[in-house]
Amino acid sequence: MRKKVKIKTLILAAILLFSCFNVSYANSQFATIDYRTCLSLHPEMKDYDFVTQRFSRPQLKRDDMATMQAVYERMAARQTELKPKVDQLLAKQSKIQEDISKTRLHWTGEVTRLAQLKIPKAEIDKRMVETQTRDEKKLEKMQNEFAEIDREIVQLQDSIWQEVFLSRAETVKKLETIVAELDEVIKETADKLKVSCVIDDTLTAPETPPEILQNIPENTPLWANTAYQIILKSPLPEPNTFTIANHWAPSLMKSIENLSFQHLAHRRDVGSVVATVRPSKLFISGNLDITEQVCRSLFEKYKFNPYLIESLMKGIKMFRER
Amino acid sequence: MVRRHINSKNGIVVILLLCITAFQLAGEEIGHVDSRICMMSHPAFQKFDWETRRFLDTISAPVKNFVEEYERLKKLETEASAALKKIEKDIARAFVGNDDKNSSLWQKRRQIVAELAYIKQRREILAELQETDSTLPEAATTWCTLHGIESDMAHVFGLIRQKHSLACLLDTAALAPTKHPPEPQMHVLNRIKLASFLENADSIESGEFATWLSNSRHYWQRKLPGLVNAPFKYGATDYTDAACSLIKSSFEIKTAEPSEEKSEN
Repeated sequence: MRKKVKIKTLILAAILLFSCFNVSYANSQFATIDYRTCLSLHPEMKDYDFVTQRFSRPQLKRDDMATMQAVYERMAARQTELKPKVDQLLAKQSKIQEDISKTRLHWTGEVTRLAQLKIPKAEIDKRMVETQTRDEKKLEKMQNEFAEIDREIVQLQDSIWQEVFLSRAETVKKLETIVAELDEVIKETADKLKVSCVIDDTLTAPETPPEILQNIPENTPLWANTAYQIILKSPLPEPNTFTIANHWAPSLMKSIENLSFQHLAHRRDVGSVVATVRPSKLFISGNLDITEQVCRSLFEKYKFNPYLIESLMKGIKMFRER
Repeated sequence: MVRRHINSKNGIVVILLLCITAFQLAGEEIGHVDSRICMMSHPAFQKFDWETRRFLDTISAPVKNFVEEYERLKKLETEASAALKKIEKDIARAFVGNDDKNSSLWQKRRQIVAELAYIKQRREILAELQETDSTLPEAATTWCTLHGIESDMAHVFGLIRQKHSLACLLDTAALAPTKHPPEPQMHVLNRIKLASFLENADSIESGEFATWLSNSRHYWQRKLPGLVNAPFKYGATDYTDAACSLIKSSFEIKTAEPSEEKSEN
């Protein structure tokens, strides 16, 4: 009988443990990631050329100077050969662009012109619809022509650069593979850490514009304060030297600190200024950020050496904490 | 006696714990919607005039012709009053009889009462506009339409959460970028490739790497905005389409209870 009670107690404890595990699991269901950093540092991105917006061909022998010289010469010759055609297409494109703008302007002018006519409202509406339909068809046709020329130019560029770079279509395909691989690693990491949802919390964070820090608005309460003015205009206190600035510096700093706390709490406009220098965080504490884990998994997958991996990790950390 | 008492107590605790566990496991899915898209898909926004930033066919609509507007309201009032009398008779008949039409009749009555309230509020606004010699009602008059849209959205979001047993429903709009990233400095990106940093690991700790990474992030955000600007990278299901189709089928809003009026701040 005692044994039975023991078993029951054990089952009860197990259920209690499982329940507690669920509670803790539910608490850590979110994780954050800096997706742009992971994407930028994907090992395959090493071959991406920002000038041509294409990946360079991995089999290219960049170290072989003679081969590369011959490749560049062939590229230059092809470029010279195709230049008149590209220029012609570009000229055609700017003509179409001009016509598109004219058509848009015509529509606006037509609306004003019709509104001034002394004809029944129904007639104005009818003519407006007719003009709009005609112009929309014209615009669509011109936009299609523009896109077609764009495609032709891309094809010509592909044929110039084909020995060194992947074509536009191949680049898009490679990008898709990179994104799919990154998404898979995120999924694997999330599953490993028992995370239900991964959020990129870096998107709303604004970048630091340094000019904001230099231009302190003159209407801030601190600006009008004499102590603040003295500090701003005084030479910097020098260590181990008796100066008036050194003597007063601690108490002046303290009073500025007090003033800041008193005034800033009542100033709503400061919030928007602060937002430009301090990126807000989705989770203040208790967050699980998987950026570094995802990057590390990718680097290990591509068999980077441990020293390079650690350097990259340090680099990411420094970038994110700056 | 004591043992049985303990056993029965244990049983209740076990059941309770099992219930808690099951509840936790059942409500784990996370959903998200883009409230901006949901708001735009509301029928009331089909009649939003972007130029004047007022809702047409509501109390905030700009006035084109005062005489025509008063006549339209008079006609609407006559029709609505007649319809109200008829519906009240029908309600009385339904109350006496046994057919189960009562709730739909009350629903219709509520619509007519709202229509009459709209006519009254619109007349007041027309009078104010005539006094101030203006044709555009105050921006604050849009509050009741917006309030109605918000209520409809909240109702739909509640339905979605319930239907799909979601642990929580998040708003994409709260996490998505509010403005374009800065233009990347192309001279930085053109000068160095990622390959250069990978070939020389020591260069990664330099400030140049941070500058390159910062610009590269901006570049990819501009190049692949659809992919990068989506804040949910894994695990959350998008219910925006489902919410939009539910919102589209909701009623248009013309008036709201004045007592519910909120401050515009």
